[in-house]
Amino acid sequence: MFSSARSKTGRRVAVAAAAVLSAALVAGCSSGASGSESKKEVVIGFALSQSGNMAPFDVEPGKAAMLRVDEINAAGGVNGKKIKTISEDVRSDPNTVGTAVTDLIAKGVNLLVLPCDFDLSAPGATAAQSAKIPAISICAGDPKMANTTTLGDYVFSANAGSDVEGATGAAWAAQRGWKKAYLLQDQSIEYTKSAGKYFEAQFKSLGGSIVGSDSFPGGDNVDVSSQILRLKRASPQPDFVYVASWNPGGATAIRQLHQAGIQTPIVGPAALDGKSLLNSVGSTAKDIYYTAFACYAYCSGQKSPTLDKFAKDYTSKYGAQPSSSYALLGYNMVSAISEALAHASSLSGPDVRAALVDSQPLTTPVGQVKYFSKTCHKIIDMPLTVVGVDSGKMTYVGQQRAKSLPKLGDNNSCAG
Amino acid sequence: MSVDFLVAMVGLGALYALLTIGVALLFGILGLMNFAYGEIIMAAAFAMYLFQHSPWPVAVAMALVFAVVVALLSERLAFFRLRDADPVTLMIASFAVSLAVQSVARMTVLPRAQGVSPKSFLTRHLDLLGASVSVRELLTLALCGGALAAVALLLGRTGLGIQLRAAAENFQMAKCLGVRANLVIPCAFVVVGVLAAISSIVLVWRQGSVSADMGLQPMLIGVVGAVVGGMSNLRGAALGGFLLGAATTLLETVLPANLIAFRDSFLFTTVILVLIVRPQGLLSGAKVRVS
Repeated sequence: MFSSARSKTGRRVAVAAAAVLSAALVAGCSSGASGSESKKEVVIGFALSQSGNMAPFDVEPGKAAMLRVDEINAAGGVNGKKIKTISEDVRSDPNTVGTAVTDLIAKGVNLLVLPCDFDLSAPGATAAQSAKIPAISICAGDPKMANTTTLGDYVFSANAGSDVEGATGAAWAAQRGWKKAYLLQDQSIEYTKSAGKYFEAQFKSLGGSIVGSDSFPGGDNVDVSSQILRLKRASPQPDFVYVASWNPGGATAIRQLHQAGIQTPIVGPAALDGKSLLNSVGSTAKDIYYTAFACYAYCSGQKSPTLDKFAKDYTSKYGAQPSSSYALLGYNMVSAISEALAHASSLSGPDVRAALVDSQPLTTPVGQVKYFSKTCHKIIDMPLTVVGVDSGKMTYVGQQRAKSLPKLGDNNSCAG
Repeated sequence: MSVDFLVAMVGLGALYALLTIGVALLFGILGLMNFAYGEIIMAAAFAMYLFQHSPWPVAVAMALVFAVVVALLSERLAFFRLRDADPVTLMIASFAVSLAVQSVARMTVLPRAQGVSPKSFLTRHLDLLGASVSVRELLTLALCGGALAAVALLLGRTGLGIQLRAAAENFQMAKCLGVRANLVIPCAFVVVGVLAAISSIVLVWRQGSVSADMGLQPMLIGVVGAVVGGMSNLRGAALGGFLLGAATTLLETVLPANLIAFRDSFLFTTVILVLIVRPQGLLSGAKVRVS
């Protein structure tokens, strides 16, 4: 008697559990089905860092991207479809990126946006590749992001790349008449390594010479005292030092060069950009130049009404100015995505990918930009903005295009 | 070897010795391997960022206040109740404190790295025996050296120092002989806070940036330095830290440019070798207190 009652209760629990489970399953299936049937919207998943050491590079481009999404939706969307966004914080942690991307794919996104760094994007890119969902890093600079073999042919970067940054820096310095360069290489991430490598090759190919090169481990705790002593002894003394680094470590290295009394001009890549560089080097620093993406808000002198409008809209939407030019990359990326989506034959991964690699030159606040091609999955042609730091101010120096990228035999599908 | 190289080497050595003393002091007295030491450093650095536009003595004073407050709060809120717990429990608790403080900082005031403007006096130079040495390096040397000397004086010559050392030697016995635990332990945390603040001031002057996880590497340096030098002996710990700093500078000087990225592998291989030969550390004390 007793035992049969117990087994009945057990059976009842099991039935109830099965009912709940099947209800959940049905709900899951039906919501999935309605999502894929109706297609009244395009869903973009944002897996960016809202915290941690990569946040300075992810937060503002992400906000600028949302600004562009709102603009496009207000103007009627893409072919009548509104853009819907789903965001997850990946906390600058590669492990979290993989999980977040898997989760976003399960939620049915049509396209993914990954963090602003190769090392951090890689786990997410791999997941997106195997699901055949196009994944665009919002601004990763390493050229390995752009060849279709390293991470896959569904992976893109909405940045010109640190190879282009290094080569553009070299072209600008050579044009200025500087002949002797000293390369100070930050070894911490792929971005800085390729910036240094392409700077060196391009500067040599333009007739310049590298009178010395040195490196430091980089990261959060930077101390370049030993490197400074060697730089002081370099013979002949260089016309300028190329600091292939990123913030905050790059700003620290420049600050330490100045504190050690080195007055040689400094040239660097875009990852030095931002207000925090001004704070770190102080109000007396001068002769620091870097190849940024634009000069607005905290930087003055680039006369472009559309750029000013972008900075103004961003400021009024978020209550603070963009603090680096990376923000513009996020804004431009959404323009490029919406252009591609408008021409895609369907919202399936392969079709969206096909539309992306077939992209046409796009008019942006900094001029004409050509995004992706079949072999090169990053911005193929974009003018970089050289910004100069002088007495606590950042000013526009000029626009510079790299024209060509040297071939280094490193499987860079965008070179040559 | 040139004078500027020597100043850089001894300067970094002194800074690392200071970091190490901060970790070793609490281990000696409480058996506490304090992984939250980095967050005390971060708190002081945050004060330097917050008060960067005030005159520098204000920023320095506030750095001291912030560090001491965080050190005392961590003692009161976390370690006070665990006073008789075993060292492993204490260590795990310090991990928790470290992560908690770091996360709070990241969520509230330091979601990203912030720059701190350099003071003009740091960019000056002095001619020293024919070499141009930056004021920053000399100040590093003076501040860290001064702090180390002050700790030595405090421990060697004052009543509080004797109580601290007695507590470090045998806590139960010291209590029986009238050393008041409720006085000695908070005092130790205050000393640690002051040491962390001084290291932090030097770090911020050198790096010019402040972030939520900036304390991680200094804390690791402190722990490794203390292990190399001998955990329960403050002189040994200072020596371990100093050697670690000097070796870092030396490696950056002698390594070819393409191997500098692997500086830490060379450094820590040396640490392993030292520990194989002397597992108790270079200058080991009589014993380690395990309650």
